[in-house]
Amino acid sequence: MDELIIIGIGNPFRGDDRAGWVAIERLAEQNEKLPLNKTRGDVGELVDKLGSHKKVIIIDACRSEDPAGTWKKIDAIKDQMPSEAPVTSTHGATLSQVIEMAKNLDRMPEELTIFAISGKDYDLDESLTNDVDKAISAVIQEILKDKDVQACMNKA
Amino acid sequence: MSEEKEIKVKVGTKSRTIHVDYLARVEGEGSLYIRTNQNKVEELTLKIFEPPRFFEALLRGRSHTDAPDITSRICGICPVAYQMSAVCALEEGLGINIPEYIHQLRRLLYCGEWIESHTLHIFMLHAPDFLHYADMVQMSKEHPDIVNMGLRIKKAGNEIIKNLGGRQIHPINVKVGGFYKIPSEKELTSLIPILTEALRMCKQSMYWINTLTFPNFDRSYEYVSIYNDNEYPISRGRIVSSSGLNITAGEFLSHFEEQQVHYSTALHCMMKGKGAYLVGPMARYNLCRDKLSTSTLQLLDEIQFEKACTNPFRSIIIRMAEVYYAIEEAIRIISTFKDYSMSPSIEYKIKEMTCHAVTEAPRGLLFHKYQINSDGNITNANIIPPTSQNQRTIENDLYKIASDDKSLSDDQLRYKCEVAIRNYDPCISCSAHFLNLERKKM
Repeated sequence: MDELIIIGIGNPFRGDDRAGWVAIERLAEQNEKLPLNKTRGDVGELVDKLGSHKKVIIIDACRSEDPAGTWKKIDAIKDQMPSEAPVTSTHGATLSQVIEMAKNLDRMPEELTIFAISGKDYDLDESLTNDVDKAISAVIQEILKDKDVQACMNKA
Repeated sequence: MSEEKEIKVKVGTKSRTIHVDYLARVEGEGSLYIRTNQNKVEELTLKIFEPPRFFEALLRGRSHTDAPDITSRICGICPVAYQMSAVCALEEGLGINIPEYIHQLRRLLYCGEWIESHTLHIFMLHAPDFLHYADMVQMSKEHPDIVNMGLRIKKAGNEIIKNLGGRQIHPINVKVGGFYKIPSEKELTSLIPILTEALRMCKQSMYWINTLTFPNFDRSYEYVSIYNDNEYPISRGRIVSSSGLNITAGEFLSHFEEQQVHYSTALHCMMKGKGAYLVGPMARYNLCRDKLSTSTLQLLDEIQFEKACTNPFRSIIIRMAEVYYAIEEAIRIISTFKDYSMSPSIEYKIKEMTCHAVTEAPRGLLFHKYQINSDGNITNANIIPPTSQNQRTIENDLYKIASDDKSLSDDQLRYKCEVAIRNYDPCISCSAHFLNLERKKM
């Protein structure tokens, strides 16, 4: 079992839905030692990642009534995930469902943190709205404060 | 996954209408309309309102070398099938004889897609039907071991595609004349442990699937698939049918024709003089059973599966058998492959031509035709996917269900129709998930 993975979920061609991928790309620029992964949200792939790491950090765009660029940090082990599918998925399975299934299959990590960034525009486009762009930077700063992330970056 | 939002039922009037906002577990956007009068079905249409995607027009003017990569974008579930039909057609027209080592690697890649696509359908989309769960998430609560096995078998398929195709979705390693790169021995043989484990799980899954209860529903179909004397059909062979058709891909359009229907953006492909026909696992099994491996046949005999299957609800068992076969084939190909130092592709000269090919996508026969000018650019393309070929047969199944089961409530009828549609693993598109059932009683 690996220690840590940081996963960005999204579709790089659907406007703000690319937030997770952009976050991963920027983290890769910060430090090449970080264990990073970009995915479109394949259920099997996500369950597999959840079940094979002790600690998982997920970054994903979400739909909410909050203004674009609002972001939330959710402890998916302790907190209840919103049930009404706030996290966008162009493939039908919500992140809440993936987590529910991972729990059913006993494939949850010890720690699971989700950064959900409220988006605005999900049309076919490869650009981000400004507020989402700024939110990604803030989320990255928050992730870089994590002691396990720092330990990874400082590995010899 | 599925999410049913709203069911409205108006009663006490002559007409009754049901709307179900979402149905998951079919790939794409479709709806079903049923109108009955005195319990007799007067109209039944499987409407596909997925917007036209104009891939054939998109190909015009592009280099023939773009065809495998552009057509693979038609589907995120079966991109390999589109790549293979494209390169097989172009290579046939160019007179390229693909060496056996390249053919074997392509068969391996295609096996990866069969494993991945079939497993997705069996465990995530179709098995919940027979256990009366809304989706795999619900199913995973009471059958975690089965769902875990499904995910692990699917992963084996994903790994083949990632390893040989360059990436998991829309692989990029296939080109006209071969591949861009042949994987190393280390890369290929690293797949053996996960495939061996998947084969074991596949056998267990087959025993489990055989315990499911299926509706009695036997029909007489015209089956169409590729047939090859030497192997279970994937990408080489002639087109055969249960009524004796035996033709090349180049003769396909002389025997089959696409028809436009006013209620669907997908064309219906019909067999000239015969009408509706069936492609996919059930057709392959019924026409080519003897080409399955000995151990696959032993497994089917062990569960006492019929030698000719005419009940589409039982096609889930055939899919499982094809997964078992594809995993065995993958192990066989990797274990015997020696040509790691050979050229990944062969040279060819371009010429003006018309070319055709069929290969067996997981869902059935996939036909491609291209016209290429002397510069090597595509001037015309025609692609006939399996769902277009099965569409009329699906409607005929639904008609029989709606006619025979008059006692079903609207909800029961809707559910049975949805399951019947899923028998065909229709790939209407690979994005949205939507089925409306509208039933009017006059």
